Amino acid sequence: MGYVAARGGSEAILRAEQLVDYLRLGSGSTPLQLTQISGQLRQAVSRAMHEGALYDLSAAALAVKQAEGDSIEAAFLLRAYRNTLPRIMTTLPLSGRDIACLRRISAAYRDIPGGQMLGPSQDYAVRLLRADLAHEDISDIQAVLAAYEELVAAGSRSTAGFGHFPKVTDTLRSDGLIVPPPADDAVEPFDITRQALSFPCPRSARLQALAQSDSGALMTFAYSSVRGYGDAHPTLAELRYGMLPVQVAHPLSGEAITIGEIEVTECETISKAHSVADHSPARFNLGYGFTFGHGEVKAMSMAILDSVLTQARLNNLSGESGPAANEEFVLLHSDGIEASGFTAHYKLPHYVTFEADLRVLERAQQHQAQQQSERLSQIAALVGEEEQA
Amino acid sequence: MPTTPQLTAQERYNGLVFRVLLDAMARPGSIGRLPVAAAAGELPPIGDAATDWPALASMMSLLDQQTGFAVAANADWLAAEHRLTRWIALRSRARAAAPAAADFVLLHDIASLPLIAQLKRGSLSYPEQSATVFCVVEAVDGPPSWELRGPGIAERMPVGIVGMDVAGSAAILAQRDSFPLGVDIYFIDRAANCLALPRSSTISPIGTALEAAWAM
Repeated sequence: MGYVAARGGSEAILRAEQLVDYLRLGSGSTPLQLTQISGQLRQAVSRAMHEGALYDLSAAALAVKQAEGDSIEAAFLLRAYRNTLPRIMTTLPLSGRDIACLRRISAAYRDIPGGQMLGPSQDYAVRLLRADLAHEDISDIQAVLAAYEELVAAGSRSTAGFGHFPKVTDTLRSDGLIVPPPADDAVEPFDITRQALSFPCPRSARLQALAQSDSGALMTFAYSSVRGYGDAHPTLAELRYGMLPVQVAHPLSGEAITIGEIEVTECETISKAHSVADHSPARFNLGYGFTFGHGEVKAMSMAILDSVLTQARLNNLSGESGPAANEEFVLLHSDGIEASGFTAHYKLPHYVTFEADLRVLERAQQHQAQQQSERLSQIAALVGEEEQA
Repeated sequence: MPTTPQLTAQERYNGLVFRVLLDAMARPGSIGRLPVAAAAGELPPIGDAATDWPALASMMSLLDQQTGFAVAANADWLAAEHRLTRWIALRSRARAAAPAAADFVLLHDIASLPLIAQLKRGSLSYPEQSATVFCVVEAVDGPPSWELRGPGIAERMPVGIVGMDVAGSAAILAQRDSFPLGVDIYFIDRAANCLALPRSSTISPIGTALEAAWAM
């Protein structure tokens, strides 16, 4: 069989794109509206935003629609779109303390200042498929809204400070239980979209890379670290989900102006005390996780990995505490666009490479056959001698 | 609730300008037509002369918070406090930079071309970290005085920049020796035509008018 380098057909490629549209719309079902996607597929839109590293609800809903729900493809679309946008301003540094929480829990203490607020969560639901969701209509919307209004009427009026809680870690820090914040506050954060990552990298680079990493990758690495391929034993100090006001400096007056708010998830974990070589008092280490939108598993995984990597750096135990403690390994393999892109690139023609592999295999087979026939003729010669003898 | 994302007029303009500038640099010496920019409103003048809007608008489409720019006219750099510099900085969020640090440079006349000697030319590891120049000229389709050869040109490309003088040509030619370092230049005329001269194009004279430049 001959192996020939094939010419791609532009027409075939265009047809491939058309067929995708046919699969998407050809069934005749009502085309999805962006408001349906952003309203009813909130988690998919959140994931597109934090993996695409772009906070834009309508663009994310559009990306999820165009990608037919493929989260990595949607993130890819948003990354590409982000690269076309001019960078007009940088926000002022924002603090998770300013989040107007819809959900706020801690696993470290039962009673925390302000209390535990479960908020909207599937965490406590029984995992049974709900057949009633299959045929929802306007009456279901009305029922949900009516039930919510009853709850609101029965509840108490919220005060102005509702949803604003002090940080659990602030209390722990003032009690001397957590390491003090890092000293390099004056340094500009590293921007991995402007400079390539090289190792060892500053913590700002690590956090930025983790924040836009693939959720599954972070989850797997964090899981490996807590399950025994590592020695992470994290405690969830606080998990917050809510709206964070965004501030910039006014271009003329310089004063801080709030320009809007974004939906975010923030997580802080504490790791058990590790003895450090120097004689500073033993303290818990802090891991930090953050995502656009609602991404609890990713924010927690990020926080766990942040504390594992900090630990590894402090104790020079990179890699010895499992693969997740190797910063270069984790950061270079967690980006969804890079990882999926390279994996998928094997679909591109590798005809010449394979041709070369075939030539090598042929030579190996010929070599083996030749060796075999030489051995046989040697044996034949020996047998002939014996017979003659 | 989120609305369908739509391009603003500015975004559409930026996209169209980018395409024209990209094609011009990819095919050196070819003449591109820049899209018409929306009216500038009160555009601060440079001295007594009105600021050339097509050239400035196309340069501004490339500016953002991460870029530095500088403006020169009559062979002199505009101060950071100059009304035009502040006008550009406020609208683009780009910073007014020293000439040696500017990423994008507007030369308001051919007389300012010799200033390109002060601009950053990149490094061997990062040759692209150099300045891109937008030079305002009378016309880019005048009688040819240069012949270009090099990447993006089939054989040779005749180029005639109306008003090009000996000093300007000498300044451009002096850069050729430092290839791959250097600056890349867009010539933009009053009618919003643009012609690009990347550092990769070699220039030969046609006729004797500018031969003095080659002797310098």
